[in-house]
Amino acid sequence: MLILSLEGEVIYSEGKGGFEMDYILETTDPEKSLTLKTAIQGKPTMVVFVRHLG
Amino acid sequence: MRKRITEVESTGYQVIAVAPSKGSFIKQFVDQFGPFPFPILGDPSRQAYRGMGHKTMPKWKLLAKAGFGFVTGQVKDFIPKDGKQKEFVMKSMKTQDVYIQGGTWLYSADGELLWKHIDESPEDHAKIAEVLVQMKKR
Repeated sequence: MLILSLEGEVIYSEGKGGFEMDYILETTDPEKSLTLKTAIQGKPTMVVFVRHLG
Repeated sequence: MRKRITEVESTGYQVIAVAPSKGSFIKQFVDQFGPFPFPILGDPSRQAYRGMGHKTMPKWKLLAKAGFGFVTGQVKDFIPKDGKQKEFVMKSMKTQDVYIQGGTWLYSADGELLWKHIDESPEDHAKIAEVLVQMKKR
């Protein structure tokens, strides 16, 4: 089950992992995007959100 | 981060970076500054940033900090000398959201949140030594 806010923000997602697992992220391949859940691929993961590039 | 990737990976963790940018912009960045030993994903709408609680620093505060740092010499060499890299950084500063702050999150293999650090300001990054301690605790 997925609960979204009126703005489309994921508030709650059932299952393992938090709601943040379902945000869609872009890759350098314009044809491919993925979620954190997909990116983690069953490995312990350090996710670093950077302020900006450059 | 790039310099200490071996230490991080030796704990069994993989690293993923997320930037508040489009995938196409990240590609340009990697072409100029790469390669990087970890993937960089983009969140151009900042939905993940905001939804996960990352902060936006008020413009006046960020400019005041940058001005103070520049005058006191605490901020230096943030514009690369290489022409193409310098051009990229200037473009980045003009076109990207420079007010959103970062953070560091640790997840288990199941996607369970183990630890997080939300940056309060540009200099408030999680120290890699602290992150390594957290990784080794789990």
